[in-house]
Amino acid sequence: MLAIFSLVYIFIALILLASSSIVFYHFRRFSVGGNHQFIISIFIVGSALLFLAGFLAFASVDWKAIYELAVNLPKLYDPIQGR
Amino acid sequence: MIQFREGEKIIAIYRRHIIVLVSELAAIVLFSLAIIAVAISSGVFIPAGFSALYPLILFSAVLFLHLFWIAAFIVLADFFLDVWILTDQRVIAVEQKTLFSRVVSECSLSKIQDTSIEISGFIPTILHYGNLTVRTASEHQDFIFKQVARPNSVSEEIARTAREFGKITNDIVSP
Repeated sequence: MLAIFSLVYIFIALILLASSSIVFYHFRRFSVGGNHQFIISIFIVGSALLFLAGFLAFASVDWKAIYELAVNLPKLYDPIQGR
Repeated sequence: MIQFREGEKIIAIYRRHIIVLVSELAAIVLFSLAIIAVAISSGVFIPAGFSALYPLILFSAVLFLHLFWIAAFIVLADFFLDVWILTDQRVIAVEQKTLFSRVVSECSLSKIQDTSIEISGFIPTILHYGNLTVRTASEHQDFIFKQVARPNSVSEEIARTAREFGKITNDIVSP
């Protein structure tokens, strides 16, 4: 199950990386006038931090516990009694 | 990348008014703040039995923030890459319609005929921005400086530059 979620995360991360690259390419290729290096630097640093945060958050998720929680949900919550 | 001619001097570079960028970014910033608030408050209000979900909520929040981060820079790219350049030889209009659609048009200063300004709405009137249309002798469409700041000053600067350099440019262009 972890492998499936890892693959999904890798797929999402690749989409985010591709989108980031497209934005970066547009700024580098087409910018005219002004100091766009600063904007590009902020974008790269922000993207790198968010990638790192995303990876750390993904690594901290206990998928087994979530699976067990989902399986045991009917036992934890009784809709008739409301608890 | 725009190729300037040899000896061509940039007189001015115009972009949309900064308030246009701010208004487009405001929604993204608000949604991002809402996601951060949900992520933080879920740590406090999540029931004890469901604490395993908290890292998943944080992970989802980071993913959404990353998406918003990219969206914000797409908006920034659209703002900064929509540009109108006045040089001593011509007017160049670059319009980034979408990320993969870009129109670059140019007109010699000697072909500029007249300009008109359109300021409509409460905020554009207060903040002095609007559309400036530059009519040309060309058969192609007119140049529209969209939501440009202080269109009166821009119009005057174009007229002054056309008066100053237009004839010289004409001499260069037509042999």
